[in-house]
Formats: sequence, C-alpha cells, structure tokens
Amino acid sequence: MNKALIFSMVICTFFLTGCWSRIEINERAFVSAILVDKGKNGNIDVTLTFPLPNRLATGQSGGTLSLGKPYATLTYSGANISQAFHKMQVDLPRKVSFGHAKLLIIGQEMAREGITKILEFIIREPSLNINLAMFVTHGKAKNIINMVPTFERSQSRILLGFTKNDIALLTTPKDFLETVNGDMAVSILKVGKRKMVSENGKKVVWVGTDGVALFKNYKMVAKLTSYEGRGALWLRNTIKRALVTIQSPTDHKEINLTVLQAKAKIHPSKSEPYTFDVHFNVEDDLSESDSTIDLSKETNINKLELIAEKDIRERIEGAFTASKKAGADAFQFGEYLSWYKPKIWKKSVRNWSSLYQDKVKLNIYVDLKIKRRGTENNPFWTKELSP
Amino acid sequence: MPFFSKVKKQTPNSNTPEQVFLGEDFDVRYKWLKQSFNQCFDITIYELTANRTRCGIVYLQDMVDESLFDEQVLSYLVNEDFASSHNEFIHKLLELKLISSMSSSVLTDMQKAVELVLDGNILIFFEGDQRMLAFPLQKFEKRAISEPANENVIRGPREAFVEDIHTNITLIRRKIKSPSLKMEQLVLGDYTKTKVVIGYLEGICKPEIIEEVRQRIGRIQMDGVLGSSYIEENIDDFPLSPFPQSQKTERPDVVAAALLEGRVVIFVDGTPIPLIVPVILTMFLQSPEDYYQRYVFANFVRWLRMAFLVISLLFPSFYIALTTFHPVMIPSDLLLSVAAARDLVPFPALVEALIMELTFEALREAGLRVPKAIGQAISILGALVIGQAAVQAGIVSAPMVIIVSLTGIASFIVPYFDLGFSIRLLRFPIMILSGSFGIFGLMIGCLLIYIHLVHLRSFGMPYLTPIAPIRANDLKDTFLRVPWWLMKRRPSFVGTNDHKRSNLNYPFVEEDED
Repeated sequence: MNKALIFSMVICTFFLTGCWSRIEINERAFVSAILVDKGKNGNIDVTLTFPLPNRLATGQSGGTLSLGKPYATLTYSGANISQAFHKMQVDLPRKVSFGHAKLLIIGQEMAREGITKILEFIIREPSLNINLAMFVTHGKAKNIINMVPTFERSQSRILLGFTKNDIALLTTPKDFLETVNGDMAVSILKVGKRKMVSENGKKVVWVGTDGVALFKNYKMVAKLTSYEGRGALWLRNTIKRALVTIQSPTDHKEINLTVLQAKAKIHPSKSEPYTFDVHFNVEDDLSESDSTIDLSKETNINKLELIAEKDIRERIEGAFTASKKAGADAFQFGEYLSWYKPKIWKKSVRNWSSLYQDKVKLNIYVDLKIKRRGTENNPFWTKELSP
Repeated sequence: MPFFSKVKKQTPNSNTPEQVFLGEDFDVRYKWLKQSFNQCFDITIYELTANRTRCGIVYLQDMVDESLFDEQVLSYLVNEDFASSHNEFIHKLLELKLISSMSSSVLTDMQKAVELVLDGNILIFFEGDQRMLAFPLQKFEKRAISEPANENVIRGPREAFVEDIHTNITLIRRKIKSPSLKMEQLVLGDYTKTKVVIGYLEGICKPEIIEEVRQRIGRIQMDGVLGSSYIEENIDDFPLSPFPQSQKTERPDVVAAALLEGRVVIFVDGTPIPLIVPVILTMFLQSPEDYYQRYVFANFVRWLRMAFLVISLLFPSFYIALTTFHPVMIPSDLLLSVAAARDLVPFPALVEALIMELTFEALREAGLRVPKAIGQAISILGALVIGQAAVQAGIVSAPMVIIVSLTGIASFIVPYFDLGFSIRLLRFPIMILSGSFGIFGLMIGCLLIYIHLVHLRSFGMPYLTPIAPIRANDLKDTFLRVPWWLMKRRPSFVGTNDHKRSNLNYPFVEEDED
C-alpha cells in the first residue's frame, strides 16, 4: 500500500511543469547594455540593446545571411528606470534577462543631474551584475546605438572591448557603492564620425574614449581632458599599456615609452595629516625613438628615465589639481586616510569635501626603469652617421 | 509487489533426489534404465557378456569418447585372460580396479547412475553384483580460448574465459599454483544440474565471506541456471539497486588478482563470465590495463575515467539546468551561440535532451543486436538522421547533438559495462529533476544517489569503502594507482590479517659509495 502510494506520487510528478522560473533560452532576450538619458518632462529614457540570436546564423553553410543587423535597441521612457523597463517588457515577446548586461552608459545630462536612481535600480535587481562597466558620454548616450560595429558582430562587443584592454578607466557601480560620498571618476566616450573602407568609404559613427568625468556626490561635476585622464588612470592604479612620450635631451625629438608594469603605493604622509605620499614603480619598454641620442649608453638611458618620471609626475599632478578644483575626491584619498589613520578620518569625514579642496596635497615619487630597448639599440638610420 | 521480489519457483523435484536401489538383479536394472531413458534416441544401452558375466553398458553416444572407452576398458573386459571366473572378474574390476582407465567411480544408487550418464560418464553394471562402475570419458565440442571481446588491454594477457567451467578453472590454476586455492563445487538447477564453483584463497579470504557466499548460493532453488546472472540476482544484498553488487569479468588475470586480494570468485558452467564478490564502487573504475601500464600513465587514465563518469551522469542535466534556469552562468559569447542554435527548436531543452538520449540508447541497442550483414545501415542512419538531418530540420540543436555524443562516449569509458549501464539509467531521472528544478534538482539527484551509495553493501561490505568509511591504507588504489613497489599490503577490507603482499624497497639499486 505504502509502496503503491509512493509509486503513484512519483508518476504524478511527471505531469507537473516544474519551477515557475523555468524559461527556455529561446524565450529570453538578453540585455547587453543599458543606456540611460535624461528625457522630456523629467522622465528618464532607458535604452536597452539586445543581441538577436535568431539572426546570428551560426555555422549554417558558412556565408552570412542578409537577415538584417544581429542586434536591436529599444528606448522607453518613464519616471524611473523600473517604469521604463516594465513598459518595455509588456511590449516584448520575450522575457528580458539582465544577467548578461555588461555595460552601463549614462548621458552627460543625466550624469550631471545625478545617478542615484540608476544605481538604486542596478543594485536592487538581483540578476544584474554590479560589476557593470560604467561610461559617460558627451551628449546623449543613445547616440552610441548608431555606431557601426566594424570589427565585431554587435555594438556591445565593441564597447566591451574598451573595458577589456585597460586603456579606459574601468569604473563599476560597485566602486560607487564603496565610496562614502559618491565621489568617483568615470571614463567618457565620445561619438564621432570616421571614414571606413570596410563600409564602402562612407562616413560612419565611431565611438572612442576621451577623458574622464569626475563625480561628486553621485553627480558629474567636472571633466578631465584626455591628457589629465591618463593621470587619473595612474592614480586609480589601473595603468597598463600606456604610452609615455618624452623629448630627447639632445635634439628635442620624440621618444616613446610603453608602460609594461606600473604599481602605485599611496600612503598618508607621516608628518603632515592631509598630505599623501604616492610612490610609483614603473617598468617601461622603449618603443620608438626619433632622436639621435645614443641609446646604448647607460647614462643616456638614465637621463631619459628622469625625463619620463617628470612627465608622469606632471600628468598625475594635472589630474589631481583638476579633481581638487571640483572638490571631488574622485581618487578616494579619503579611503586611504580611513584605513591608515582612522582617527583623523573620523574627525574630518563630515567636511571632507572642503578639506580635500583646501588641504590635501600630494608628494609624487616616480621610479621609472627602462627595461628593454627592443630588437635594436640605436635607431637603424643612425648607422650612417657613425664613422 | 510481486514483480520486485526474488525468483522463487516451485520445483518439480526436491533438491536432494531420492535414492533408488534395485539390488543385484541384472534384468530389473536393465529395464529400469531403459525406462528412464525412454524416447531418448541418443542413449546407448546394450548388453554384452565378458568372462561369463553379463555386463550392461549405458552412455550418451554424443557425449563420450567411444574409442577411448574401447581401448581402455572394453578390451580388458572381453579379454579371456582377464579373469577365470565370475567372482575373480568382479573382484579384479571393482576392488582391485585393474583397469588402465584414469579414474572411475563405484556406485550403487541408480538415480546417481543416471545423473552420471547424463554428465557424460559411461556406466557399466554387472550381473550378480549391486555395484556399478562409471567412467568419466566425456568428449564434446567446446569453444577454444580466444581474446576477450569486451575487456581489451594493450599490454597484459590476451586470453578470456570460455563456456566450459573446467577450462576456466584450468586458466586460474595455471596462474595461481598453490594448494591454498580452493575450489568448492555445487550443483544448481533441478534440470540443468549446472556446476557452480566457489573459488577462494584459503588464509587470505575472510572465512565469513566464504561462508556467506556458500549460504547464499545454497539457498538458490531454480529449475535451471543458464548463466552467472541467474545467480548474481539471487545473491545481491540490494536487489532493487541500479548498481551492480558483483563484478563480472571475462579475464582470468582479473579473477586471479581478485583472488589474491582475498575476494571470492563464483564460476558457473556455461558462462564465460564469472562473478567476483564482494565489490566496491572504485573497483569498477579500475581497468586491468591500469596494472599493466606504467603507473604514471595509469593514473592519468584513471582520472580521465573518473571525470568522464561524472560527465556521463550529469552533462545533459547540467546543460538543461543552465539553459532553462540559469543562463547567467553561461559565458556571454557561448550563450549567444547556444541561443542562436536553439532558436528554431520547438521543444524545451528537457524534451530535446530526452529525445536525443533515447534515440542514442536505441541506436546503441540496435547496433548491438543487428545482424552483422546490415550493421552499416544502422551507423549511416544514425549519423545522417540524428547527426545532420535533425539539426538542419531544426528539430534538435547542434549543441545538444554534441552533448549527447560526448555523453555517449563518456558512458563507454567505464571499464566494466554494468556500471556503465547503471550510470546511463540514472542519467534520465536526473535529467527530469534538473529540467524541473534546475541546478537545485540536479544536486538533489546527486545527493539521493550518494545516500543510496553510502547505504549500499556488497556482501556486507560498504560500497564506498575505502572512501566512505575512510581507510587511509586502502586509498592507494582508488584515486591513485600507486607504483607496484608501494603496494605492500593487500586491501584490508576483504583480506584477512595476512596483509603483507610484498617486501620491496625503493630504490632497488644501492648507491655507489665513491
């Protein structure tokens, strides 16, 4: 009797449908990027980009079928992000899945107004990764969707590329969460036009990185230029593959160095409370020389190293002073203070913003080593000059 | 539920047949035997007179060596010089055994005589004496020893068991030349009278296990035993478990190794596959090859086997769970290609997987049973219909075909096919669980299997030894196959306290002192 009961119960389970959360992969639409702009009447315009797997004909007879573009974008507006998103979901045949979103791009207007609403949605939604890559655009974020993906199949993969090779500053919602006051630095994307041979010589929309936006209390307050922006990368300790161009001491021609490895150590200074010692250890490759300076001599290399150190110091200085001017502790020196000197931090946390503007100073020490000169010593054309 | 219970049939004869004694009268016995073998055309019963004594000779003509009988027995009997009187004749034959035949038995029970005749003996009975002589002069066709069909190795011996039990025992005796190797014979099956031999090494095998095997086999009452599987299902500790509780092999070297570990082997006449008990799960993952290859490579292959065992059990379920419940766990690029491939498929992933897995199983079974002449048709049909046409028609997706074929390959990597069968069977419930509950269902399925395995016993030995009741000393041959010079002790869970196996020290060469 008991066995028969269990047996019939097991049989019954075969007719059940399973969990409510069961959605087949071809009934989902995967968001790849979230674009947020300021809309009309105080609304927020949310644009989501989706790759379209039904148009990614894989493997079938090799050639690409002319089905149209393999991605789609949709824009809906609402008082906040959830409203806009729900309007969109109603109109879509597939269930929107946020799990694969990798990008959050915010229009400049929206960024200047404040991004708390956006962060609130992202942090609360469980399937959204808080390690999204954040970008700010000049103008509207939506303009990016006109970009023509030349090197990849879809736009989102191009944008992901920016975050993969650490040329642009990678900032995530998690970084904002870790701050006390919402001061942060975010890379800026610029949308331009460029002639492309691959698109039959037409001028198409091209997206590149340009400068850094400084946030203060979750609001964008200032912009760093591209040059200063690279200083920001140094201070955020995420520098890789950067190019340092210096002038040769002999003939003022350009010499290029590529950064191999760079490590920053930031400490509050022992003597003065609001001064920070920033130590950089940099290893460089010499990548190009237009100068006649004799690179086989150790002393000349040392000279070049000194010049490069000075150049880097100036860049960092530039980024720092720009952030000071805006009163935004975008590089989170407050964090270092709270870690190393919690007592001073406790006293100064309330008016940290003004303290930062007035009192914080940096002592920048750069220790740069040119490790390799490539496959030649001096430029090949200098041979003719030597006797 | 009657269909789950053990086979118990009412037998026409009881296990110990009644004895029949018919006295000294020749004609009575002659008639009785004639009557017993009524309507058996292959029986030969005739009467002759040798040395003034009436002799009756009974045998099955297709099962005995008549010329040998003629040469070794009959020529003596009919020789006038053999004896001068009836009494001398009987005395010389039955008491002094002055016959050059190798062995003969003296008996008086007629029932026993019939049994011996059926086993290929030649029976002689005499006028005026109750005693009869039986000569074991069997001669019948048997298959020659050939290479193993299922358990192939690269190095190592190439001989496999055959159907004849005596040949099989010879194969073992030739490997283990010790009087401690005991072979106890039982006869099972009321009609088949199948010989069953329990083999073990005295002093190494635990006496309790031998006694248990004896008892369990002794309990079996069937009308016929046609293979070792008839016995296997009757001596299992857990008849309902999908896991095999005895090891089957067709290789004499595997049996010899098992004997040396202290395990018990059950040979059944007519089966080329003896049973080895007790067995533990990890033994099914030890191929004989592991012990013939160098240990470095053997270890690599063993890990590969373990990994593919898991793949074979869980891979389709994992795919179903990820695509229907947790797409976030799939890397974005991979997800896009999977989604693109699945876009036209009309079924849920679970149904798709079930269709493909069942088709694969059907193909495998058909490929096994199909007559050799049309075997190619199956493979063409399988490859074309399932591999290509189904994908092009959009009925199944290409990733699913990859997963099913990988799983199919993985399920054959288990060296002993019966564990492969259990894994293949258990795959389906886990697939349904993960199709309904995602990774959660998959984990529940795994836990249930684990709980069952921990509970399972083979002849009283926990199925997961030496892992679940952990025995550090016996781990040397589970996840690893340590080199031979480290296998100094036999596994303690089967053997007796005589654990020492070898006395090797490494390095063997003493270092030069310069």
